[in-house]
Amino acid sequence: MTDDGLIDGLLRSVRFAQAIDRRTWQSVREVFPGPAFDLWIDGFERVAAKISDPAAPFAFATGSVEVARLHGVDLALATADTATGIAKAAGPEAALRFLSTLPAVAALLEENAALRIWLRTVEEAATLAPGAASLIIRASGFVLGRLSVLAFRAWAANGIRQSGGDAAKAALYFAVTDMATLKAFERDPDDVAFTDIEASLRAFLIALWKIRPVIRAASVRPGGRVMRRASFDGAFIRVPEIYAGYRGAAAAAHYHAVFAHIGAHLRYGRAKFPVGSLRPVQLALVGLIEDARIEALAAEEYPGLRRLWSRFHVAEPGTALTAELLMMRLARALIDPAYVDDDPWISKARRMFRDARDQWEDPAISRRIGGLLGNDIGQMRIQFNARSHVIEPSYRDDNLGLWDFGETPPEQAETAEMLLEAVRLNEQETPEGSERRERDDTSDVSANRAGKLTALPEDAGIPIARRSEWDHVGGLMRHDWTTILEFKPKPAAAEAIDAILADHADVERRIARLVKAAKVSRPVRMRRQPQGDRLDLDAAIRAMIDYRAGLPPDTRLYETQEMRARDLSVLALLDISESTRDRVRDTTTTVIALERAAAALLAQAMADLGDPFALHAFCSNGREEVRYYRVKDFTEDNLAVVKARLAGLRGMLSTRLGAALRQAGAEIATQATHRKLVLVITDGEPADIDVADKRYLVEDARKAVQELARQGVDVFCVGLDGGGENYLPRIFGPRNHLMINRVEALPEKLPMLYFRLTI
Amino acid sequence: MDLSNYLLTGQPYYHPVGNEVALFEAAYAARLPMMLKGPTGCGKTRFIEHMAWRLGKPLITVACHEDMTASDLVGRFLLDAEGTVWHDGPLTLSVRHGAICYLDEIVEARQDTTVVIHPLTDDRRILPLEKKNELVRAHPDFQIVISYNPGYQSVIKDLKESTKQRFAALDFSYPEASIETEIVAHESGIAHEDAAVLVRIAGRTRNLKGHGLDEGASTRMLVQAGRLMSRSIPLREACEVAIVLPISDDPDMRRALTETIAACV
Repeated sequence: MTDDGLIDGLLRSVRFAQAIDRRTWQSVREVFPGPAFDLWIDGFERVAAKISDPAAPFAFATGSVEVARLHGVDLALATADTATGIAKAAGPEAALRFLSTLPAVAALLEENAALRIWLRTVEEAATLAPGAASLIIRASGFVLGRLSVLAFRAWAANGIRQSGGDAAKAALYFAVTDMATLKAFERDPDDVAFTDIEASLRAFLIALWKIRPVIRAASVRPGGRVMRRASFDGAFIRVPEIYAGYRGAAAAAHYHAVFAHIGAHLRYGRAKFPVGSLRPVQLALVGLIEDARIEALAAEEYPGLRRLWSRFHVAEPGTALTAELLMMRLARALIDPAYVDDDPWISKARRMFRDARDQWEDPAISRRIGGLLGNDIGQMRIQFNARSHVIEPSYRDDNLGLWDFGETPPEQAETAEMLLEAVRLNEQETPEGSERRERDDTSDVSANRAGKLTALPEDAGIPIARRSEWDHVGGLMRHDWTTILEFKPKPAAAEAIDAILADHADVERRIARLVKAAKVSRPVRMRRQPQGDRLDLDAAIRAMIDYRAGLPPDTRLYETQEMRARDLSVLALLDISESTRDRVRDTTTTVIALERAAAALLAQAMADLGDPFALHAFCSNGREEVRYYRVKDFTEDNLAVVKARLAGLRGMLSTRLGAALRQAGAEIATQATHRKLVLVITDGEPADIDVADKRYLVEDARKAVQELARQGVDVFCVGLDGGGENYLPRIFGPRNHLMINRVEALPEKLPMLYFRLTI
Repeated sequence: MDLSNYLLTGQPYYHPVGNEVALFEAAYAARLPMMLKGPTGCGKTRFIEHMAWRLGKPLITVACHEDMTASDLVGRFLLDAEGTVWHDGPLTLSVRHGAICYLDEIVEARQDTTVVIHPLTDDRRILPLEKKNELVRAHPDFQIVISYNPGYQSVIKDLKESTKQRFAALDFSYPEASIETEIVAHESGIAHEDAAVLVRIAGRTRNLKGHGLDEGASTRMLVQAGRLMSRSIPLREACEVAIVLPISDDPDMRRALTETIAACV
């Protein structure tokens, strides 16, 4: 550490000491143990830097300690982001109010999820209505004491919408504290919101058309704009969070109608129509005919859909001739064959649509028929108000996705933005992306934030053991030949791991099911028991034969069922040498990214399974520097911290496998379980800078495996290198290794393999 | 011993989907051990019954389970008034007297149990009865057939490599829509149009494999739904009872399935 760094660190410590009294400081150290403390310091510094109020650091310290006690470390750390977010959007005053309200709200809300929703709501409120944020936060305690957090959210959203940026109005609204007004926001149990049936809707689309679009529920917008119709663009769908006017089963049916309709667009639609010189009424009618066209095709494939849709068509023939009413009647006429309407315009449209039946596959007919009908409306001198026009019935989407406007229309910008966001999410693992992330992470580390506060400097390991090494040429054991240095894993943003986990949600589900099956102890039939539930037939016969042959019979004649409990501990040892930075063939991910994902999935499964589990990583730089990282120790159970450390693992240096194996063996030896398993994940042959003989480290690793076997530790290896068959069998034995040729499959294979090994 | 009990009396209905009948006949002619792979309820067991009938050979079926021991397959000594008597197990019975021995869901049995079939599956075609100190040479008509579902449970339960490689395999999947319609109509006795709707529904549920379902609805499920319909249960109710409720416990998935079925009718 340089002198400057030291002074910086000292100065900073002084600042902490000034801001926080001794007792608070102690409780911070207490509730944020180990690496969580590093993350806390990180949050603390951001809060101190972004909220220019001298009271902020102390408020954050007390608030986060309270949240950590009641809701866990993860949420407590998240409050730093919320606080800085509020400060950025609505100023330091609102942020300070947020921090000082935190302990009260944390105590009021019992569930973590509820607190999370509150955090999100106040942060959104700060962005949408900076002026009102402070008021909303102040009212939080009162409102949450009386209403659920969802009702609070609805109340806040409504206030923001109603006041429309007017500070006086907002002040009036958010100061209201009478119960009658508040009660109105409590959600009716009969209301069906999109999130309630989202899973079912997704499955519905996959079942019907095998489509898996990106779906987002629209949240509250500022300025009073409520989303009234669903909208799609490509495979990106936005739906209103709730459709007013439908409740219970009808609301569920309505959502299914919405998704069946959009699904039909995606299935039967083609390229977007150019807007060209079409007039608004023509746009609306082309859209209407296109809706009818895709619905007709879908109903041919799935007759039940016609029933589903037609219940929402309620237009009746009447005398009022407005364009909106005519269009509603036309929409019904085109889908409901039993509907009678003798309006000449509608009859003509019906005839044209029916006559084009053989060309329904071709979207061009929508353009043609819609264009003609639009001309007719014009000649009938019926007014069409494009501004107030809302597509009916309500299950249909706004049809913006049908049109190519040349350039993005302004009101769509936000949709496009979300679309981009979604694309970005999908592209996370592009080469530039991951490299950029790696760089970001390292710059983070070089800031060396915690290094100044903790005894253990980050960039030098502490020697924890010396291990021997086998020299196969001389046939001798070199005692204390290697030095194991323990390095602290550097935590990074756990979101990267969460994103990977989200990508493998399917695998996660399957693993969860396996865990469930494995958790219950399995009945095992025990034969030849001295006592038991029933006779062991084979033993009884053998005894009888012995008896007749004049031999003393074995009296263990019974068999019984026993539940075999799991009694096993596991240490997963990750190879993080330089070569793991290589990109996996034909993909954009690196080997280490996959190792991280696999380890995360495994850790998740193990946390559920309850087997003692540790996750260590190693690399080496000559025999005096075998680096050993404890990503997770047997006793740790904070998955968030583990994820953060996993995300921080970087590939570097070489692979001195034998030394690392011996260290892992010593670590797992302390476990009191019957079976002990070391699971090695490596991508290449053992090698190190100070060893020229390729066989030397292979033979040493082989020796290490044998030593572990003698101590009763099983070693199994997962090889990620195509050339592994040359040395893996030599090291681990022919049955105790597995080559994975499709490295992409590792996150899926590793937990599965674990189950195979242990069940 | 007389195996006529094990001969099939009537022709089991089987609708070929490819040339699996010819392939199996050739395999039988060469007495190749066969492995039938495929998802549950796609017709593996029906196929082997049909082939046994076609070839005119007795068929001995063993449903494998976790607790099965080698003695359960090979046989054991039992006691009677005279002393101990050896009783052949189903495998020995087929080997001695020339039957097709069908080990259903072989992966359910423990791996150390399944190795007893190894000497029967190569050119030795012998079965050593170690307890009886006897070497049974296989009857010329004997053939061994195993079935197995390479589904998700095979993560835990899989065949040993040395077992796998002794078999030739036929891969079964759900038949294409027109054939499946015919099968469902024939087996359940419902009208062709109704069977077609059932098959269409099954196709949609199979889309959900891996997206919430482990397997889509099998042909067997459709036949069962069809049988309910032939006893005048309306289609949607029959599907609810025979498909939706058995296949998933997840309320979201059930709702999606119910809506999908509603869309198909």
